[in-house]
Amino acid sequence: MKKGVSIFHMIIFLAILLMVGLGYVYYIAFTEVVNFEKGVKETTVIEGTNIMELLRKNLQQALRYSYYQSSFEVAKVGGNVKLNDMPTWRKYEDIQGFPKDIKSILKDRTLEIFNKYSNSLNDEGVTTVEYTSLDAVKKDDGEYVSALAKDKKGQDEELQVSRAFFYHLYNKANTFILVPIRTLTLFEIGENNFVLSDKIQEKAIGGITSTNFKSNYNQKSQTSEGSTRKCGVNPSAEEVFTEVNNFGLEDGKKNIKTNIDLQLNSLEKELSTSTISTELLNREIQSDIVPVCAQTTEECCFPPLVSNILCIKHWKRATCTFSYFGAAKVKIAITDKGNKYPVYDSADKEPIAMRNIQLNFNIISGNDYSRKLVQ
Amino acid sequence: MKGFVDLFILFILLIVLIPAMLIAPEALKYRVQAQYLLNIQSFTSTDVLLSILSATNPDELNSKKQKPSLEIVGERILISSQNVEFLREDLDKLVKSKCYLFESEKIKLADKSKDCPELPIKIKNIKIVEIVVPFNPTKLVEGVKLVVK
Repeated sequence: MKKGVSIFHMIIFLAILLMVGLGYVYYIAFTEVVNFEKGVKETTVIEGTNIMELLRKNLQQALRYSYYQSSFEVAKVGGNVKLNDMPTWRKYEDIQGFPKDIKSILKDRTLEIFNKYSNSLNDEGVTTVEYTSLDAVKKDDGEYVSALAKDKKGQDEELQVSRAFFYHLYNKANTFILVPIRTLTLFEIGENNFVLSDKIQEKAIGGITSTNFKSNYNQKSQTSEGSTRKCGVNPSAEEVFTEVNNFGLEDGKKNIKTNIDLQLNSLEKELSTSTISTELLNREIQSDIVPVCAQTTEECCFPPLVSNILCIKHWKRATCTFSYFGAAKVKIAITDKGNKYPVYDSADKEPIAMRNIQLNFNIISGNDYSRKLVQ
Repeated sequence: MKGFVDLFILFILLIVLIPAMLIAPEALKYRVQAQYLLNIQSFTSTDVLLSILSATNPDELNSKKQKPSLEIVGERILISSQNVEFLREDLDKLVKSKCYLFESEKIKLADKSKDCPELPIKIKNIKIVEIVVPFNPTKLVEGVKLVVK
C-alpha cells in the first residue's frame, strides 16, 4: 500500500510537473511568438514607410526629368510640337506663328511624361496615381513645378503602400519640386524681343540707312580723287547685314546675360539657308571741299601757316547717304548655357546625353513691313 | 517489477522534460534574436541606400553643381560614364563593416578593403530598390542593389 501510494503520488507529481512545464513552455512560446509577430509587423510597417519615402523621392526626381525632357522638346521646335518643325514666330507685323499657349504646351508635355513615370513606379504593394494637372512658376533660382492628382470630386488622390495585409500606408500624391532650369525665362526673352517687339528690325535691319554704312563709304572716298563716283556702287546684301551677327539681349535681371546668350547664327550660315534682300531706295550725295596737302611730312593745314609746307591741291570729299529697304529671314537660337540636362533626342546618334536647353524659331522682318521682299 | 517500470518512466520523463523546459525558451529566444538581427541588418541596408540616394553631391562630370545623388546615379546609369565613385565616401561612412557592393545592371562600386570577403558568400544583408532614370522610351526605372557583406 505504501509502495502504491508512492507511485500514485509520483504520477500525480509528474503530471503536475508536466503540466506546469508544458504550460511554461507554451507561455514562453506564445509570448515569444506574439512578440515575434509584433516585431515583424513593426519592421514591415517601417519597411513600408521607407518604401513610401523612396517613392516620394522617386516621384520628385521623375518630375525633374519630365520637366527637363519637356523643356528640351518644346524649346527645340519653338513650341511647334505637333508639326515637330521650327515655326516662324513673326512675318513682318504678323505674329500668328507665335504659339501663344507655349507654356501650356510645356506643361501638358511634362504631365504626359510624368504620368509615364508614375505608371512605371506602380509595383506589387505600391499604388501610384494618374496626375491631372501641372503648373510651373518662375523663381529666382529655378522654376517651381507642381503636379496635382485630383479625383472626380476634386479631392487629392493618395499614394498607397501595402506590402502586407495588416497595414496600408497613404500619402498625398501631389508632388512639388524646384527645378534648376530657366525654360520659362527663355520663352519670355523670345516673346519679349521678337513677338511683343521686333529686335531684328530695331537693332539690325532698321539701322542700315544710318551712319555705320555712311562712314564706311566716307573713308573709302578719301582715298580716291573724284570720289563721288563711289556713291554709284550699290552695297551688297552681305555688306548691309554685316552688323547682323550678335547682339545681346537682356531681360532686365542681373547675371542673366552672362548665362543666356542670344545667338543669331552667323551671317554666312544665314545667307546659305535664309533669304536676305536689300533694295536701294534713295541716294544722296553731299560734297564739300577739303584741303589735302602733298608733302614729305604728312602735316596738313588750311590755310598754310608754315612756309615750307605747300598745299598743292584741294580735293572734293563726298559723303554718300543711301536709303535701303532690307528684309531677312533669321534663325533665332536662344540657349541657356548655365546647365546641361539629361534628355532624350531621337534625332541624335547618341540619343540620351547631357544637353543645353535651346529655344529655336524663325523671324522674318524688314525695316518696312509694307514691302514684304522676303517670304 | 511494476514499481521499477514506473520509476523508469519517471526517470525518462524527467530526463526529457527538464532539458526541454530549459532549452525550449532559449531556442525561441535565439530564433527571435536571429530574426531581429536579420531585420535590423536589412533595415540598415535600406537606410544606407535611402540615405545615400537622398544626399546631394557635386556632379563632377557635368556642372559640378550640387545635385541629388538619386539624379546623378540615374544619369550615370544611362549616360556614357558609369562611374559612381562619388558614393564611396558616403558608403564607407554608413556601412559599419566597410564591406559592401553597390551595383545595378550598368554600374558597380565595391569596397576596397582586402579584409572583406569576396562574393559570392552567404549574403544576409541585401537590398534592392528601384530608382527613376532620365527619360527614354524604353526604360524609366532601374534597380540598384546594395549588398552589405
